[in-house]
Amino acid sequence: MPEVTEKIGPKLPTYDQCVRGLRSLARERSEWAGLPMIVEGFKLRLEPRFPYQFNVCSNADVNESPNNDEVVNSWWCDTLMAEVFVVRTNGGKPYALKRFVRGGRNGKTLIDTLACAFAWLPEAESKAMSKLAAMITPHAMRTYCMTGMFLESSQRSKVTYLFRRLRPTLALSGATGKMRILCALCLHPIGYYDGTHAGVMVPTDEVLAHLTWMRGDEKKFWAQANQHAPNDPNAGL
Amino acid sequence: MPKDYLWRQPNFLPPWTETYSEIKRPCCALWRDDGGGITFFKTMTGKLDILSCGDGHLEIKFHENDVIECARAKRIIQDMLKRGYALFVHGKDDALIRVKKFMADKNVYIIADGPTIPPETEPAPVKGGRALKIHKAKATVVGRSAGG
Repeated sequence: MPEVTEKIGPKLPTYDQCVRGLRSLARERSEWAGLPMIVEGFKLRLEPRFPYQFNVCSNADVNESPNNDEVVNSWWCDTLMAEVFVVRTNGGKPYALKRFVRGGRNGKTLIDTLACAFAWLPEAESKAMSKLAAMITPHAMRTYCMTGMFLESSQRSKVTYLFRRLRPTLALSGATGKMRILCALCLHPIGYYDGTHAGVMVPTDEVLAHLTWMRGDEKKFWAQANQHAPNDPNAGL
Repeated sequence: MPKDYLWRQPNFLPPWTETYSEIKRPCCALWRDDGGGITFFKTMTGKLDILSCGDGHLEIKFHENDVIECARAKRIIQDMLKRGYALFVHGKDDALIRVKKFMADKNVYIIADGPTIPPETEPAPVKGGRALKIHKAKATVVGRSAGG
């Protein structure tokens, strides 16, 4: 056994130790929203004004296309089961590219979200859940514990929101008689891991952020969130 | 025996003492001597819950009569607003009201007037707004959004 350890090399810190270290560092540096953890293989997309941009550690910039092609537009096509991009080349002639998604609509996103679980601490999640329990009704908390979602209606707009753990919040409206999905609202405070549903904060903290924005400033919540159509895989449906 | 003899003892903690920065220390207390009995009153405590990576949320509590804690809280609130964080104070019926402005010289949040504002609010110098003392408010803070 000692030989095996020697072959592996020096003992590296675990993800948990790194997260705890970052937590202490954030307090020392008065970074009140904390410092996000890097997960190998995922590009960390941070809020542009966040002072600690960790993307220097990722290979995303290296893997990018060397030419200066510009993406004019992109959308999800249900018929093709692909994301369609309209790209304009240097010469100015646009063409369409299709990115087919293997393993169903959002199979890869689900697996990638699972891989981000190491960036969070269980105690942080339980702390966030205790705060959520203080903010919502016992019935809503029960549904959240059992299914990872709960419903809440806005008094002002009469829109009903389905808050979901690790998925965008669904905005539902029954104004026409039938309840229908308006869109999925995706918002991550500080940052998120590209290509996943995971944010840098623990999942319940993100639900708390959505709930706080919805109750405190609904208009701004809609303005800040990315609005995905229900048939878009990014909507998490 | 001076009136503050007990709570000045190094190992004495009043029953409501709350943790702050992982160090337990007595908060400022009011003293009343009712015919030989001793009564402690809990002072007003402001609270900031900052949603944070790795922490769940960071809790910052500050007592009304503690000058150091209040000064620290003021500095934190000013810093957070400068960095674009959104502050929401808790109002009636689980409502949350966004803080529009913070007046550091008067220790008050300025919030929009409405039916769900907390009862402790006072008239504000800003038109259409109400002032809420920071040590009477419980606030939840969310960092800037990176989209999704």
